[in-house]
Amino acid sequence: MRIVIGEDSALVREGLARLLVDAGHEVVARVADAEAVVRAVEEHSPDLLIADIRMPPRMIDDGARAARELRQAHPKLPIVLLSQHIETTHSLELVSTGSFGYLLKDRVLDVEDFLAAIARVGAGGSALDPEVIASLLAPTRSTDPLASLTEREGEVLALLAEGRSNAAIARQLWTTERTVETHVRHVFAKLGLLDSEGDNRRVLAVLTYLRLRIGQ
Amino acid sequence: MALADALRDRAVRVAYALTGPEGSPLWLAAGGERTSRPDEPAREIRSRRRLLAVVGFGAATASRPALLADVLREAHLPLELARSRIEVRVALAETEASRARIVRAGYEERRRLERDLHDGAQQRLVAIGMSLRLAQRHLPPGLASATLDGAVAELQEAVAELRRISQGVRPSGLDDGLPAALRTLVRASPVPIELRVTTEQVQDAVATTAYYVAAEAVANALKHASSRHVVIEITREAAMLQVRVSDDGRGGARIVPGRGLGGLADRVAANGGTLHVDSTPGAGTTVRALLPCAS
Repeated sequence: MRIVIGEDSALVREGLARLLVDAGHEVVARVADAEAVVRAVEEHSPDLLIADIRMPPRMIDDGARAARELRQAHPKLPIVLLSQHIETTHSLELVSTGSFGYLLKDRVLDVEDFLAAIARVGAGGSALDPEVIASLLAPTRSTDPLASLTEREGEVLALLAEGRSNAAIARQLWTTERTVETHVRHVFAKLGLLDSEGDNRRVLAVLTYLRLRIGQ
Repeated sequence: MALADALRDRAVRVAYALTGPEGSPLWLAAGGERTSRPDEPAREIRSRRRLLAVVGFGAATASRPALLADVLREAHLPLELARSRIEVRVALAETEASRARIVRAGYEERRRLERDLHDGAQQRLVAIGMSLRLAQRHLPPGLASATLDGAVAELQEAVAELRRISQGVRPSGLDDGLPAALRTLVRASPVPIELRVTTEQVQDAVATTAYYVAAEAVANALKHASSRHVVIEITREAAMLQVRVSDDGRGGARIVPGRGLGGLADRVAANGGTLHVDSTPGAGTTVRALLPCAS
């Protein structure tokens, strides 16, 4: 993929670029602030944007704001946001639109997982950090439908929300795709979600559910 | 006022002489509000040569110097007392303001420290990990590769630990406002917490204080009271933000100076607010903070 990197720490920016190039990607621009991210995307029309959330000029959520702005102008642009800590304000809104990933920055160090995640996002899928999922899945009240899931169903839901396909979930849990399908059906029924065909649409349904739940 | 009555002069005006910041003269009226030194005709009131106040009056009084001298002699002690009262009030207001400044400076310092951790150490560790991973990708499986694997795993632990530390220094969610920070708090809880927030943004110092009230009350509810259900409620009425945390735990909590809730009460008071704890043994605990938040 042709990739634009937006990251203000030079060390991390260069380290990330070298890893991506080593994995066979092309890094077409490396920039260090939110405005430069927008310009670089306009100039290079990359296959993927990887951007830090906290970037100059304001050093708050400028990267996420730039991503949202770019998403409006280029609805199909795949974006992966990186963050040093878990935050859900911006990421969930974007992640439920697809072609979007949100990962903790140190997740890059699980190189194969990271490369698989950006490939998924590049192909129109989603990638959500496991730690973000874990915090989203914590029941907030005793009547929370999430509390009614079995442990196994919880695991399946977490992997589903990360953006993984049924086949990938089956591999991860050492079980068959048929079993995973059954779990997914139960999860959808318990959460009152409409089951739909296609991995990505399922993921989006789950993420939309989690996002609405957070909005409560 | 008594002085005006005694002199039968409605033009009588008293300005108390205090010392403002940097030694400049500060003229205050009896209610503590700022005023100016009365113009002539006026008489200075001194105690052991120190200027206490200046009394201004009208032309009628100026033409009766004997009466004026009598009345002012009588009024000397009340004037001195009034000035002392004002002095205490000013000193108290200054102390309160400086306490608020200290708390704010503390919040600012925490924010700076969190930034330093985030932009410095954490990023550097991640970058080192990336270099190690790059090297590892070019090594055949074996001791060297396995050693790098172990080193990166340690680095990841270190980064996660720094993240926890910097989260404690200043909750990152506060950058996105109080509701976002509280949602993070709620999600990290092992016990279901109901969150009811019906307020828009408030200033940073108020949001930070409100967050600490909620966090400390929740920590107490989980740690000491074995609560199974906690409710955090944030409401705003006019210029007051109310933080209310109630649990169904064993109760019996009270404010002890220097301890958890005591520290919280100080923090709230420094923002000009009040903290109440209602905690009957066996009937749960409700911590309620009222914080002024003029917008």
